Amino acid sequence: MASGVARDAVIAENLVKYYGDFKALDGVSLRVERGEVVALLGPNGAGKTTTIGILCGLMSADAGRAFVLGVPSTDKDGVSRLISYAPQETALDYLMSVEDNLKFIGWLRGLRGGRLRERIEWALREFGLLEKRRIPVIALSGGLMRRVQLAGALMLEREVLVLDEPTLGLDPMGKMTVWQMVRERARRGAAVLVATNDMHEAEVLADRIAFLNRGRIVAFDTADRLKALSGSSYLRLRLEPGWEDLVSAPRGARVLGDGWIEVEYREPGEVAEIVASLSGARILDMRLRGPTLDDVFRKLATESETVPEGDGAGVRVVAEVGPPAGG
Amino acid sequence: MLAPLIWREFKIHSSKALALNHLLGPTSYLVFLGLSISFNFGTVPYQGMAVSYLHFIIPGLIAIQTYQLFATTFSLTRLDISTKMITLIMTSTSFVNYMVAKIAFGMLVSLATSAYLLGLGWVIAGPTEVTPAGLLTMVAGIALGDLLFFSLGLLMGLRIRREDVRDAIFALAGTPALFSSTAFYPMDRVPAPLRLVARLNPISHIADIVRAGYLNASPDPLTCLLLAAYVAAAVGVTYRAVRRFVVR
Repeated sequence: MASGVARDAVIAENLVKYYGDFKALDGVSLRVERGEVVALLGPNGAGKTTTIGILCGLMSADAGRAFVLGVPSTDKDGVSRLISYAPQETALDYLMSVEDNLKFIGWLRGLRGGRLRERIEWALREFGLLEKRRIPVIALSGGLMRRVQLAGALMLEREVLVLDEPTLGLDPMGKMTVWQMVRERARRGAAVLVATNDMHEAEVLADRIAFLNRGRIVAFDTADRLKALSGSSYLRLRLEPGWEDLVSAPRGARVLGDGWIEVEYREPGEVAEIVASLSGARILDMRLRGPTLDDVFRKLATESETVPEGDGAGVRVVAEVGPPAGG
Repeated sequence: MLAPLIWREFKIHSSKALALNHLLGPTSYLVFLGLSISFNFGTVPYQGMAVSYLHFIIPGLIAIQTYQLFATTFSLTRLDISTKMITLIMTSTSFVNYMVAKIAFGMLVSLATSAYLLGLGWVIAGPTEVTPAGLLTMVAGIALGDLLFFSLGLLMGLRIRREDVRDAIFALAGTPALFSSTAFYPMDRVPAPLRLVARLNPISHIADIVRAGYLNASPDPLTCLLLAAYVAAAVGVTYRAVRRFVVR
């Protein structure tokens, strides 16, 4: 990192946003460093799009502040020159062709002449749109529209990339292509913020995950450390049909179907106890697994909903946030 | 950053459907309405002159085509909002640029359509002599009309989300606005119960100003003032709505 260049490209500090009486954001703070992908992970309505909207200067915060490369997000024009943003919904001109849409996006965001033509060709080629270049967007499927939108965002080589649910509606190959491109962009130094509610996407794509629930960031760390936070492992057992008549299910067991049950445990010694408690039934199969992001997500969502108003106990690991360096 | 926005407007407006709409509407009015009524009216009195009905109606049709900007702006703004183009544009440039590109291109289309109407009118009804001052008056009337209806179209586009409400507004506002104006006949031939509406109707004011320019007469200062007041009010209200929309 060159000296004098601020490491944090995106900073949000205690953002609060109300929609009427509804508190959509309740003190959201996060940082995205250059060369890093941060996933903003959370259920629908958690506040992901609102956070992004404030960072991109599309809406104002009722309290708190945000900076992009040192520029306050209240300076919408300044921020718009720094960010390449792909919104959650398809933002394309339905009356224009695929190529004209890319030309418009690139031109509007500062590309000119030969460079613009070069980037359009790159986007058409990389996103498999060469044969569709003259087709009006309105005639495309939802997945293809999404590809055009991402092509428009990624054809720009900005230092900050903000993608809201980028792979929604894409097929598996399309998702992998986008993930590779995003990782490559981060490798070349861009700061990337991706809002998603897809655990797999967050885990594959992001260096760090900010888990947002009910307008609060309740955890912010790498996927591995978040999983370690869980402190639990899981025992899966497949039991012979009719086991319910012979033994009681272990405490906290989840019935998964097809005879499988899953029991959470913390200490290795608990496995033997769980198996012993089922000795009256016949065990057909047994597997152990570590925690997944799904487990952490479920646990944190439950915990954060039980944290009283104003109590920060629900926040596990949140980046220390101070004034923007170099801003 | 206006160039790409104006280029986009050109791309949208050069679609066959919109281009036909811009040409066929005025042609139909002039050929079917103007010609057929001119057989019944012959000439109409205008500021002490007897003017052929076709020459009388041409400025009225120009005023009506400025009203088309209301419907076009309304629909295209709504489309930009529903397709989230507005989000894309607002994260790339300012809303002012978006508006300037739209109004600039709208005025260009409006002036081109007006020129087409004048040409067609002169082919059908014979040429008239328009002085440079008259031409300037016409352009001023058209520009004010464009500004008024662009502002109202943008305001409605930002505010009204439902298509059925939009259709209801077109149906409820469109017919009275067009037919209780002086676009088709002079004020003294407007039925008495509708005369107050006609006097307040901005299409009347636009038609009167353009007509004065077209027939080398002086526009009524009160008409000019009223139209200017309408434009100022519409632009002011729309500006506030835009600010509320942009800074949410």
